[in-house]
Amino acid sequence: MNFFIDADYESINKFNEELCGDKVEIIRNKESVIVVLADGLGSGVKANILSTLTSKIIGTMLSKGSSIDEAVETIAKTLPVCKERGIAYSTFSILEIFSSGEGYIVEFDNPSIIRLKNGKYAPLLKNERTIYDKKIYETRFKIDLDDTFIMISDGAVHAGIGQMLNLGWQWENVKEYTERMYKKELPAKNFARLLVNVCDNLYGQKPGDDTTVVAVRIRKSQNVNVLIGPPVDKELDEYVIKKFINSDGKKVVCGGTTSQIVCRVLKKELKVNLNYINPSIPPTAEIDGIDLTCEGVLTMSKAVELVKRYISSKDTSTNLFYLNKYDGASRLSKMLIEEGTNIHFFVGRAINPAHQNPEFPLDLGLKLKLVDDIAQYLKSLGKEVTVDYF
Amino acid sequence: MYTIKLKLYKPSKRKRDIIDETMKNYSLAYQYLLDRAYEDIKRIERDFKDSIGNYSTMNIIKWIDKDICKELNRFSIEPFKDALKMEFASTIVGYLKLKQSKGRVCYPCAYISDEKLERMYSNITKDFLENKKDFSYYEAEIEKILKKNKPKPLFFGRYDKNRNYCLLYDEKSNRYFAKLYLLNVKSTKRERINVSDERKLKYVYKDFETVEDRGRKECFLLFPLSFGKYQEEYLKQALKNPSILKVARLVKENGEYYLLITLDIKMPDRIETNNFMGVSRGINDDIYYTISDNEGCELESGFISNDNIHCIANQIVERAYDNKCQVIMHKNFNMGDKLKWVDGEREIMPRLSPREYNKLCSILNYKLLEKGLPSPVKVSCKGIYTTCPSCLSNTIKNRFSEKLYICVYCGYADSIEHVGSLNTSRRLIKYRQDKIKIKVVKNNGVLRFINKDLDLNFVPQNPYNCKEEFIEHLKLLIKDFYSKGSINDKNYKKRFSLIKKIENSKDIFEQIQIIE
Repeated sequence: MNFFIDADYESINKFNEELCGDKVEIIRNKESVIVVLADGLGSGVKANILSTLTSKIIGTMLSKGSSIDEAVETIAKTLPVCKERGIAYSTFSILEIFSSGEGYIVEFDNPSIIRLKNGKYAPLLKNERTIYDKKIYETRFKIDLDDTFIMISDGAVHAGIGQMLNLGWQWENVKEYTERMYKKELPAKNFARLLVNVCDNLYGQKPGDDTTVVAVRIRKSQNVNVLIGPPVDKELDEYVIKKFINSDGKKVVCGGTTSQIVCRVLKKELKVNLNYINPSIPPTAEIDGIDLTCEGVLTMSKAVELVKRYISSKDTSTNLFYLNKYDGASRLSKMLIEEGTNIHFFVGRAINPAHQNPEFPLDLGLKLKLVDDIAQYLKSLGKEVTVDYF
Repeated sequence: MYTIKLKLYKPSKRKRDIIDETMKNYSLAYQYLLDRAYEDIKRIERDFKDSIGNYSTMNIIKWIDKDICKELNRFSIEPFKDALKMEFASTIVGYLKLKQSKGRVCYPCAYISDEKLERMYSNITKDFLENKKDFSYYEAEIEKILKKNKPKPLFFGRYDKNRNYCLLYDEKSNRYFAKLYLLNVKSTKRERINVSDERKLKYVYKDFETVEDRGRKECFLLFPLSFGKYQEEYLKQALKNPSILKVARLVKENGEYYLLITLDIKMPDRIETNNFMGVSRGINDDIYYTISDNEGCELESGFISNDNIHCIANQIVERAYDNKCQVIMHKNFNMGDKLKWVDGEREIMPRLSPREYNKLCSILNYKLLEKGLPSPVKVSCKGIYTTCPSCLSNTIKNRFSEKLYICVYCGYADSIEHVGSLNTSRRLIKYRQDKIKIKVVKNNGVLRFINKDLDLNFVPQNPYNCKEEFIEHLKLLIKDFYSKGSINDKNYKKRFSLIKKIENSKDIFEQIQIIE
């Protein structure tokens, strides 16, 4: 099965706390992706230390081949003991997805992991086991494409207590909401962000507990190939275009000259779109067989801005607004963020005559920097990025 | 102008019978005039226009000649003759004006007498029994004729001591009375008035003369009045200045009699509103309100519950007055505001029914005006409880539970009632911000700009630079609308709002969205 594991998380701190008592570790290696959510006892520094130690120990040990028994034993022996309560304590949930298509879940005192299959809740059969006086639940299962796993800390199920809701947002409510908000194309980051936003709103922006949501989505690998700029050597035009066009996945052409070269090599017509949606972003065009044809540096710089905003902004509605616009930059960033799992940039290094104009604020260096920046941002979203220069 | 409603306090059987009979006679006379006019309607339509071709009440009154006037005497409605003429003439004017604009309109019917009702009922029933008409038609027709069998209210065309009607005041007991001329001079039902020695009734009229028993049978009857504090305030004003009392109507509602008096009182200066107050129904409480500023930012919100709908209205007016708000309410309940919640077999209904909510709106209509605020603006209730105030996505999935709203697109969470009132308060801002969508079609190298609502179908001469040409075309379109547009057009209101939007915009291109 050719799949991509899209894993991301969002946290909010307890009101007036500087540090979060929940900690998430996502460890990617060739064999598997390990996601650990730990929730330390109490809040603030103490909880932060407990959860960081727990998630780090478990993540590192499991990724190095240790068993869960060994990891739990290590935690029990090494966690610092709370002076007030006299115990060393941090709850945790572990989700490990192997490249073979198998999954493994371990839960200790955290709200149960929610599994959605095609948007509907699919319960997991759990085995109870005691390791070093800790009652844990273990599950082994097979994964399918479009499976979604939601890990939450107890802050999520307490959201709204005594404020908007009498008993807080129960686990059942969280489950129901995830079913309602499910959309096949929704990235894990947005999934987690949305749920955390709900909790924050239910708390009236004054969270009563650290709240964390981890979303893990099993997605079909989707390549997105972006061709930007003509090659330095004109002789390479045909080679690069053919290499680009023969690649699997969606295709984006950025740049006026680049589009013309593509049309020339492929013997296709270039149709410029009339809908000038955003005056600061040049209009898009159409080439048969190309998913998106847009202008080069201006559009790419705007797309970098949008991707950066997507990563840094906590506001899902703003992202929704920007990414769903129809201008070239919004369409490009939506394709890179929401659709692509493996991104391949074909970067031509020819100097655009327009950029030689001293009044024009852009230069070639900027184009390369833009590609470098966007590649870094996309990598931070867990995507596989390849950049080839010609 | 204000109208106050005063109840005739427990009229005796004799008085009730006299009112009922007068009302019936008035209605018969009214219908008699309408029937006579119907026979002569073509002449009225042709000969009773004014010099510029319009119909006016004063012109139509002239059609009632001496002979017709004499005929009216058989209905014994002498005290109401002038009022009847006025009312009849205004009905005919309304009919003719409507006919001028719409072409075909039903001729007005004021009253169906008992005999006629019986005949009509038999005919309708016969058609139904013979399967010529279905049950729904039968039911509607019966309802229609029964409605017309109710006598018309009596109209008192002037406020006077010696005719029509007048108010009386007893200072000692602080009570008000109505003196109504209901009988003609030949009526056998006339009686001497009974003015108690303990009571000193004064006319609420210029010199405040005392009412005295003239020792003869009178054509008028005296009725004590009952009313609330609200009406009393206006009556106190009338005591200070009786000239504010104008025409009145005597109506019968659910077996009780009410006098509706029009007062000539200057409305307070209109307050310039700079905020919006959305008022919507609630599940926990009767009414939820949210006050937003011109940009849609929330300033205040809350809820109001009270068994008395007038008290709810008073509180809304108070809040609206304090914050200088334009009140916004809902219409089109038939489309469903989707506030009702069904949870299995359990059905949770909003506290106020659409009927009560509409009543609140009609109460606010005059209460806000009295404070100098504009009447409530009614906006469609569609999507009020399902649209996200944060990201504007509109889906039924956003209603999470009976009281909870959680947006599935952005995670915005709030109480359903607050969402409803917040969205209502922002509706006008949304209407203002909505852009006019103009579709561009490219066909055989020709560009065409289309908007069906505006009736726009523009092909520029020079598609590469058509800005000025487009503006000129819009100007022509607006001119055309004002010269040829008819209020009866199906699309009139929508087109009018778009035309206004274009006219009010500084830069028309900011109001336009080009779509392919």
